[in-house]
Amino acid sequence: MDPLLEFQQHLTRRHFLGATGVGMGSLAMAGLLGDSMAVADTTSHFTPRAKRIIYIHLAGSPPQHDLLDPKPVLKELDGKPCPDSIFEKERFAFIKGHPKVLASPYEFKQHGESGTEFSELLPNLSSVADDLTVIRSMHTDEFNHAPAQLFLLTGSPRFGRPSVGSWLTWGLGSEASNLPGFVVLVSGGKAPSAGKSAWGSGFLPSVHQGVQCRNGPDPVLYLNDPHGMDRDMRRLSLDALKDLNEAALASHGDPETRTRIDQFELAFKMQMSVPDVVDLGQESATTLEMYGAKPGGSSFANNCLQARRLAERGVRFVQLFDWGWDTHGTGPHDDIVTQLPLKCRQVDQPIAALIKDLKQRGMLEDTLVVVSGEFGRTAMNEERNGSKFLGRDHHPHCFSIIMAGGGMKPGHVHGRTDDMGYAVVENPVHVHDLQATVLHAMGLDHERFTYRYQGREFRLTDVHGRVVHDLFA
Amino acid sequence: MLVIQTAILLSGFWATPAQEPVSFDRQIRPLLASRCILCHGNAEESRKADLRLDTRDGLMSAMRRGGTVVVPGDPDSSGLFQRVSTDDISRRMPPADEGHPPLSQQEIELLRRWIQEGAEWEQHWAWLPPVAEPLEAAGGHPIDVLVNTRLQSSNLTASPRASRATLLRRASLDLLGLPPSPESIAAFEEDQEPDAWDRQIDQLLNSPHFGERWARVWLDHARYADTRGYEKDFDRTIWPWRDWVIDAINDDMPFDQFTIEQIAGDLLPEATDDQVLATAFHRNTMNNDEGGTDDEEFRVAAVVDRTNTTMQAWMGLTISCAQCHDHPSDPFTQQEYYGLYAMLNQTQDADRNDEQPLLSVLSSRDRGLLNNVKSSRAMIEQKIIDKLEGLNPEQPFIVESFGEPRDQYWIDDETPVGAKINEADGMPWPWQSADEEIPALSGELIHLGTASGAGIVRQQYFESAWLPLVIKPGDRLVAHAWLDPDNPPDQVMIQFHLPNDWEHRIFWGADHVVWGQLNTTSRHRAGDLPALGEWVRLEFDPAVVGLAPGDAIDGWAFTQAGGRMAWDAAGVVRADPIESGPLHSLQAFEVAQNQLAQSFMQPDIIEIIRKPRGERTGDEQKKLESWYLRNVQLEARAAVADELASLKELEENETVINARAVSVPVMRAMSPEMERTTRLLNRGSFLDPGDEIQPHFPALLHATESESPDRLDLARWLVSRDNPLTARVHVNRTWERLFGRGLVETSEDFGTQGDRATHPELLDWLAVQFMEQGWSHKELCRLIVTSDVYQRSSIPVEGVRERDPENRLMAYAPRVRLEAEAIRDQALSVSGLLDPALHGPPVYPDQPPGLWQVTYDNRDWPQGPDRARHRRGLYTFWRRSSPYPSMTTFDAPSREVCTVRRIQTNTPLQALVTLNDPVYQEAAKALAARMIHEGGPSTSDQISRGFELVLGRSPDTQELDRLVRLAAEAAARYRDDVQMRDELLAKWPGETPSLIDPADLAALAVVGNVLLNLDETLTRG
Repeated sequence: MDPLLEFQQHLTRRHFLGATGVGMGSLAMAGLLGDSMAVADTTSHFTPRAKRIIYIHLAGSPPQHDLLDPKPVLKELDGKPCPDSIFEKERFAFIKGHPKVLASPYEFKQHGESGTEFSELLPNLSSVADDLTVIRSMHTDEFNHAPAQLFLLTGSPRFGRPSVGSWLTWGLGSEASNLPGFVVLVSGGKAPSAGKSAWGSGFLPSVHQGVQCRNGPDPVLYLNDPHGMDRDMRRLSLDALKDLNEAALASHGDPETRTRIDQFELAFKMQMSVPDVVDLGQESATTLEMYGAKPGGSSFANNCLQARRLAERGVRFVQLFDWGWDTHGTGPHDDIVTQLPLKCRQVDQPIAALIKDLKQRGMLEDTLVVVSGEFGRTAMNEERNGSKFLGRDHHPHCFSIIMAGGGMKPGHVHGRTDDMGYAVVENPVHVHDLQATVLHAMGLDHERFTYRYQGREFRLTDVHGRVVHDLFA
Repeated sequence: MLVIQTAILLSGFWATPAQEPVSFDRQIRPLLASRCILCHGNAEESRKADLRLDTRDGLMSAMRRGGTVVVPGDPDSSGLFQRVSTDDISRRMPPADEGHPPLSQQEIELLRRWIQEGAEWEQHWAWLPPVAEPLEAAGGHPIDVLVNTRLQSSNLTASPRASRATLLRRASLDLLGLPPSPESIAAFEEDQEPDAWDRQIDQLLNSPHFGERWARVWLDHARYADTRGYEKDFDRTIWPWRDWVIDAINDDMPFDQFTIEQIAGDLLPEATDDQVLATAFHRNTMNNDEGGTDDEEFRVAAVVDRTNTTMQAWMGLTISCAQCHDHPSDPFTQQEYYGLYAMLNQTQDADRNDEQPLLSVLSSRDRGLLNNVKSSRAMIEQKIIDKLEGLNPEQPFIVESFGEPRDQYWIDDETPVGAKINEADGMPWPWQSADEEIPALSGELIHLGTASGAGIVRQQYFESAWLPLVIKPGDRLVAHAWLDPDNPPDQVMIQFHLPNDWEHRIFWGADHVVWGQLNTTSRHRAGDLPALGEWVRLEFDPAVVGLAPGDAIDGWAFTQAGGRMAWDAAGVVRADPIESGPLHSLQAFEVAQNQLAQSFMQPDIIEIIRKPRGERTGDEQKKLESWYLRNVQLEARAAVADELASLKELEENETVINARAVSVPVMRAMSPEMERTTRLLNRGSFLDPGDEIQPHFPALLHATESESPDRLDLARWLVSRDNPLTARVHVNRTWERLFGRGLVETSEDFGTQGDRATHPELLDWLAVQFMEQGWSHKELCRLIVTSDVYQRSSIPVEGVRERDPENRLMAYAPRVRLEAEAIRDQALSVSGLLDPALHGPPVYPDQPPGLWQVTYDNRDWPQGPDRARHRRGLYTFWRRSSPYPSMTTFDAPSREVCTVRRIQTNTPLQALVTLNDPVYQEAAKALAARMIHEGGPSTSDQISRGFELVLGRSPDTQELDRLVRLAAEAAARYRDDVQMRDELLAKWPGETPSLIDPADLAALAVVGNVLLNLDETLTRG
């Protein structure tokens, strides 16, 4: 057999059948990447509800009993040893001995027409209750921060898998011209426990990793021209670079060189487009006030507003991380009496503002907003080393999250936990189910949305997960 | 463009000549593997209809509902063919209702033909050992023969040899990760000898940078990082292992040995420290030091990672899925997974925060220094032996009384023979020369001490002198002290040691030191602090410290509370000479020893002494005599005083060097009684252990003799001549580095789901050659780079790219973008900034501030001028949770798990790095300085020189003109805008070149930046 033909057959099987089915997403991406091979060969599997996602991760994990999952029964049990049945079979991260029940010190009330209950710590979110979907029946397999964050965001508690944002930009490309398709915004002064793997691309091409957009003068690393080189000078030098590269291309014809020439031009454009998108000063005073954002500053509120600006420009996936939610109660810096209200004040208004803002701009229907931690917290007081501060330990069996927009059923509460808020008793939603549902909202079938690596098809949902259709309007 | 290419390829597919018999392994297995095997494969749990198509038996078996899967020669009776070709959608495979598209007409036709032709079955190529087909006596380099045959049969014309400049740059970047200098290129261009290329390659293979470049490749496999991963991501000291890899590669350690030492060096008989250090390979797994974690959970995670990494890095197998269930496509069961796991499950490490077990190791530089010390010491020792030879162990000594009591010093310029000094910290006695401030009271040396603060106790002491000071009736004890008038201590104390206690103390001044009981012999106050700024005599009756005649003082302590003070000459006041006989005469020494109740001497010597002379062997007597001369006798020690002083100096050096040792996590086997029972983990969960599993190898692969194989057996199994994969995988890995793509493109997967080799005969020939040439990586590199195929031009001959767009037949050399580290290294190298030092702790080049936002920790990237900022990228501190940003932008992995292949991307963020990262700015400026210093007076010559430095070739007229134009445009702008000019010139690396208009200098820096960003610069052509 002609060996070339043999290779071509081989190519046909392994690459081209896929790559020629270049989807809309990859065409959209082609501007930014230039390299269409780096993008999945999927178009959407079905009509998407959402075109983009703003994913707010409250790193450390907020306590559901104090915010979203009211448990009046705990009031009667407060301070008493928890039932033996709970204590005996459990592995805790920090709790030692027989823990005591901790009732929430906060009041819950029903809000909006839907009557969804929210804690008094979330007055602003309460005001948009009818736009929110609350899942009270989330559960996970992990109860240490880094593995649980990885599990939630990459589908595996160990390192090496792509994060959900990478999956989506790989699969759908980006509609943003001159901006990365996956942007990460971090607040609270610390990165999440899982580090940059929380927005890593794993085995997907590294172009799909999240690009961290930072506060300050260099929002994307190395964005600014160096001292002593203004825009005109940069243009002069890029013109020379382009001419030389074009001449080289003419002699050897390597298509990668064509791509590289384009990437330099795109970089030049990004140097304009990124500072423009991060300039919150362009927002009206009313908008700034609604979010509680301050141009030039650094805060979760700024990041929420930033997220909207990025979403507006077609960025596929905006990932927010806010640090400081690990409320163990070892001191006032991490308890539910001092720290938790402080954190709530920082996020309640901006998240509510984001929902309202998206809605008033007509973007909420095709923007999915998710707000979650990586696991739940216990119904019991942790009392580490006899601490007198109130706090809750890590808890994998149930937690609550908020979703909004992107085709979610508004004003809806999904799932139920037992009276202790200890385990899910109705409509459990596993982390893999959430992932399947998020992909579904984006028009992707999580079972067919695969990447071949090391000889097997990998999925965000591993071999698990089911779409929670009940969540969709 | 893609669409057009595909059209050509598909038409090529149709044109397959009908007479070629279908190959099961090449054509049918891949088809089954991609379309059928996930449901009808190896994994029993997920197997549907009890049908498996991954084995011969399965294909030839009866079907559950009647019929046979494959009836050779009869497609229409074959269930397989019926089910894929039927029009009945409800029966058709793969099932449409699960969203699978049907097989294409071509695929169905292929299956039909295969069955028609007799359904010949073949084993998956990678499970069979490589066989080197004897090459026809075609002549020429075997690689060329194997590649060219295929080119010819495809009618593709190979490109001619590349220019010498291109070739040397290519080989240098490929083999060293660094570009050649223009001078070495010029020398190569002028070298007319036929072996010019061979000699260039020799030079490259012998460069110490060779080890750095290939270590880089191995570090990705080994998931090497300088931190432990997960939330806390604490620092980990494991760089000595990285240096071990560099050295092993530079020494061309055979790959089989390289393997054995890393997997099981600690289990080798009489393992050296280096061999144990090698095992740090598998201590690169992550530790989870997060609060509230279960150490066993993450220990298991580490062993799982080791199992996966071992099979991945050495054998290109992806067995990680068998952790939870049987491998779906390759013939490995979950049982077999845990069989391998069991061999790696017997090490002591257990996700502990202290990273135990650790090995104390020195950097290779320090080890070199230590070796020097060792050889100097051996030389001096020999000299001592020679000098002592023939000296008489019996020298005369005085026994007559002085008549009057007089000072006789036991401690003066040296401590008594055999004294063990400061056991707690092991530091030597701080003798120092007397000077004008504090003249010696006796002899030449004093010992001076400063307490670290007011009231802080400082003490200097020894014990276990071989010849104790035995108290006689009428003795008084004496010592001399000098107290600093500007910083006197509050208290001065002397203590004495008898064989079993220190409870004999006397002090002057304040009562700070509370040992013993005040006003008893264990803490006797002799009076106020003595005079300051002069030597004072401290003399007292032994009785006040509870010493009586016959007591043998073997130790003495000098103590102070706060302040600064010196001590000198201490001993006894006595009329008879203190027994100096033992210091001159061996016989006297023996008598003295035999009188002591307790001896502190080394056991073998005291054993000889305890024997009557007549009962000793000749050897024993000789040993005793030379020991005595060397260690005790004053005359003999005076004869070798210089040598002893040199030895002491060497010892001190050694102490200093050894203090620089670092502790590296390594593998250590559990002791047999502590060995763990390995159980299969259901669904891979450590909380759900199943059946006990004995260590064993997968049945499909070669066997070993060991009944119960351990880690060492695993290591040997990996590099056994029978292993079908290890050599192929290494050869492929090397080919991938040299050609941008492996012969097997999926270098991480040699299983049935991976790609086949483009040139299977070549892969096998190289694998066999590699093993037969002693697993030499350098020889393998030499073999490849001396082929014509390697040396081809990267410009395809007209029409070739269209016919073979991915260049799979290698008609021309690939153009490959440099790896992350090489891009930076090259910029530093061509600009003259590179610090070429090898080895050592990781370094912190400039990184934008604020990138490390570590949870529960305020560690930050060290900033500041005094860092090694220009070392090769290989040495950059690698933090897993926040890897060095420009590296990840250029596709470096995070090093959390084994990465065999870096997938290359081409993005605008990369352009931003090379345009704006300060290190490239710095390099552009340094390059501008070189242009001026090396290029001559004209701008054109200067730019031409810059071009040569960066690209290793001269610019053509068009290129030069374009850059000269840029320089002129830039200079004009900088002349107009002096402020911008000065901003650019600020922070100039080194001295700003004079004799040039600052605007022209700034313009050259702009040109330098363009040169460093050229596609040709970033690419090896």
